[in-house]
Formats: sequence, structure tokens, C-alpha cells
Amino acid sequence: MHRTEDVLATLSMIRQYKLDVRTVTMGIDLQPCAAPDLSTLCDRIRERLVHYSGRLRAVCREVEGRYGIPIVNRRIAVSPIGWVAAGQRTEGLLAIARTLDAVAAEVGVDLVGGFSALVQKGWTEAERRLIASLPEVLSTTERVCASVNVGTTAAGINMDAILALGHVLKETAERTRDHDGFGCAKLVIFANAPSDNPFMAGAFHGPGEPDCVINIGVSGPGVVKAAVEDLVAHSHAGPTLGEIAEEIKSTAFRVTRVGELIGREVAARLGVSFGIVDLSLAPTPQVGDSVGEILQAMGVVRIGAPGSTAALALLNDAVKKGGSFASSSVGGLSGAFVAVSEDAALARAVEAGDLTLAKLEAMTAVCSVGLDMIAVPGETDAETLAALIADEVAIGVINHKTTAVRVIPVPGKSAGDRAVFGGLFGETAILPVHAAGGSTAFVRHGGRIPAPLSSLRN
Amino acid sequence: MLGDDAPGIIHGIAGCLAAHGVNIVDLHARLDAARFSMVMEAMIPQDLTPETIRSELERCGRDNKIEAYVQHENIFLATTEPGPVRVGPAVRTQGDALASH
Repeated sequence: MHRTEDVLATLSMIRQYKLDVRTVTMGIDLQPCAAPDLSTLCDRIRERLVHYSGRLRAVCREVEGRYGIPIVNRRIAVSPIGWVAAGQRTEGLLAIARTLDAVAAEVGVDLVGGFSALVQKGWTEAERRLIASLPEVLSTTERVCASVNVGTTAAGINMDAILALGHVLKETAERTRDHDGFGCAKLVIFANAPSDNPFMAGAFHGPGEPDCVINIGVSGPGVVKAAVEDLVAHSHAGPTLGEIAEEIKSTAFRVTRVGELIGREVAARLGVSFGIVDLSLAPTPQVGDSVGEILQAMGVVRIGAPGSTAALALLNDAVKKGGSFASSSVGGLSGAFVAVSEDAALARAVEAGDLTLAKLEAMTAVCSVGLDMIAVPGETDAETLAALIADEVAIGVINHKTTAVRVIPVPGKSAGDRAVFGGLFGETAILPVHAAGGSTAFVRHGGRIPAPLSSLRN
Repeated sequence: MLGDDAPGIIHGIAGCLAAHGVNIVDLHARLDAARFSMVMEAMIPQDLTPETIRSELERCGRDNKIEAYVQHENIFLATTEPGPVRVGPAVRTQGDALASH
């Protein structure tokens, strides 16, 4: 017989604090589809995706019913299309994107990631064309998500790619002007991108992965916030930060275990490999599902105030410790996301002027995944966007960690205006970019920032 | 099962489960002040889906003015025991078996 206290604690996580599985993401290797003929290539992609993911939606429903745990999103991540589309011209890349979009709708997944290129050290002709095609792909498809890895600790930073992406962001935003530049929300620019990340828009099925794999993104921040609030409310003298870290750790343990259980069950029923559980706390715009609200529960009432970075570091580390003890299959990004428009408390802090771009950049040094869902003025030039990306990528490359940028230059809007993306992408006030245009000459040098030294680390 | 204490709660819930062929294999009930809680481990027949017994028990709970929840045993094993996560049917010998779906 289970202890009643344990049963009630788990039940309250499920019923009261809305424990769920944030995403079941199926990774599929598309490299066997390669063909010089475009029509054959697209046919093979469609057949392979349907073969592996055709039952994903139904199986997720079965497992939801069995365990009574909601699976919020079902997604597909494919091999970087920059590899699969080698030899294809621009029209070929667009045809592949449309194929991915159509199959995603057909099999009932909300997003498909992997329209991606890994160009940290240099780019192939196909990868250069893929990056150039992004404005059209992101503005004309619904479910296709793109990512570009522009830096690694081993290779350094490809500044040519970063500058090209600055222009891609400008054009993508302009093409999706009626939706506040929303196309840019489906493009993630990475340093040290993981091969097994289940979260969008940055998921792709990277090197070293099997034919097909199930990766899991665990529940959102609501469960952790509730645990911290409960601890604070029931502690007479107020908990120490060590006690708060312990509470987060034990909550992360339970959340991770549920994620692994669901992932292994889905994988077993589909007859494919189970990959990893990603521990990331991924917010949604719903009240109570916010990383910012966890920081507030810890006592950082105004997010962005001094102490915000330390609180986030504690949170991120405690989640990792609890998750690592829970599972030997932890991977992906596995940290707290500070996705501004997707997190109601962070969006409010930006609107109040408490949370600035500079503070966000500092906070991303201690968590994943970087400058995420940041809206900046539409007039921000491509070189300044590139410089913003370069700064964030440098944090990842120097610190041996993943960082990323998902920034939206909102056409026709200025700092302080609102950008509305809708649904899970939320809305936010537009952040000012201080000293914009002040580093144009730097990014125009191009070339590669060399890989950092891996000794003398201070 | 969670709710205010009243005579006949266990009888009502057990009757509901028996009517659907569910076999109770362990049960623990307690009272904190007037708050009643009961944790029950039960075997579900192969032809009964978790969704069906979940909705039936919730309906029965409402009739008895208590909240009733149904969760698979594996969820509790996963969240409370540090051993490897167990998937698939948790069918063991009757007496310590908990769920068949």
C-alpha cells in the first residue's frame, strides 16, 4: 500500500496544480529520403513521416486516458533539412517545407521542427540557400519551425551566418507584418544546439540519433510555483533559500518521473526508442504557468530587480538536480525558459520597465535558453539584430552551454508598443534596444570568431 | 476519495466498484478532524477502460458528496520510488496487483 501522504501529494500535483506533459516530440531521421529528384525526395519524406508518426496522435490519446495525465502538444522533429536537401535549389527547399507542413497537418501534430542548418564553422551551398529561403518558408507555412546553429564551443561563431540571419529576421518580420512579425517566432538561432531538444521552435533530430525516437518535455512551471508557495505559506519563520531549493528539487523529481513514464509508454506502444526527458520549465501565457511567478514566489517581487539572476540560478540548478536523480535519460535543453511573451509575469515586468534587454541577457547566462520571444522595435536594423544574436551566442560558446535567440523586430511598432502573437506565443511590450546601430562595423567584419580556450577558465 | 465524513461513504464507493466488477485489493481510510480521505487499490477488469471507471467513480463520488479520483498505480510508483520507471500493465498476482489497464 502506498503512503496516503504520497498519494495525496501526487494527486494534488495532477488535479490542483495541473501537472501535464508539455510535449511528446517524435524525432525522425530523414536522411534515408535523400534523392536528386525533388519529387522523389518529397514523396519519400512524406512516406517516412507518415510511417513513423501516423499513430502518434492516437497513441498519445491512449496514454492520456490510461494515466489521466494530459499531453498538451504532439510534435515532430526531423533531421536538419540542410543535410536532407543537399543539391536542391530554392524551389526544392520550398517544396520540402510545404511537404513537412502538409504531413504535420495530416498526422495531427501542431508543429514540425528541423527546417534547420548547422553552420557553426561554415555553410554548404544547400545550407546557404536554406537560410535565404527562411522568410518565404516562415511566412507561407503554418507548422514548420526553423533553427540555425551558428556557434559551438568547439568551432567558434560563424559571424557571416549571423549577419545573414539579421537580414532574414528583417525580411521575415516584414512578410508577416500583419501579425506583428510572427514569422520570426518560428526561428531559433542557437549556440551549442542539442540534438534531442523536444521544445519548439528549436527542435531538430540531430547527429547521433536513431531512426526514430520519442523525446519528452515535462510539465510547466505551475507545479513548481505551487510547491514554493506552499512551502512559504506553511513555514513559520519563512524558509531559507536552501529549503526552497530542496522543495524545488523534490518537485522536479516527481515531475520528471511522470514525464519519463509517459515517454516510455508512448515509445513502447509505437515500437520506437525512448530518448530523453527535457526538464525545462516552459511557460505559457496562462496565469499560474510562469517562470516569472516562481521567482516572485521566491521573493523577487519585481522581476528584473537585483537578485533576479541569483534566484533564477537557484531555480535552474535545483530543477536539474531533482531531474537528474529522477532519470538517467535527461537531455535536451533542461533549464528554465525566460520566454518573455509566453510568460505573463515576465511580460508584465517588461511592460513595467523592470526587465530590460540587458538584464535578460544576464539572466540567460544561468539558465536556458536565451533571449526568447523578445519583441524589439521594427526599425531595428539587421546589423543590430545580428549583434544582439552574437552577444547571446557568445555567452553560450564561452560558457559551454546552449543559448539561443528568438527575437521579433515588430514592423511599424516602437519601444513600449504591444506586440500580440496569440495562443501559446502570447504578447509583450516591445523592448528598447539601447545604442542600436553602434556595432555595425563589428558585425560587418564577418568571418568566424575563433573557438574559445578551454583551459585557464576564470 | 476526499470529502466530509458521513456514514456509508465506503459502502457507497465499494458498491459502485463492485457493480462494475472492480476488485478492491487494499484500502486505507482515515479522518483528520471532519475531513475524510480514503486510498484504495483495485483491480480493473480487462474489458473496462480507465476512462469508464474514472467517470463512473466520479459520478458515484458526487452522489456521496466526495471527490473521487482514479490514477494508475504506475504514476504513484514513479513519483515516490527511486527505482526504474515501470511501464506497461502493472499486473502481478492478485493481492498485490493494482490495475490491469
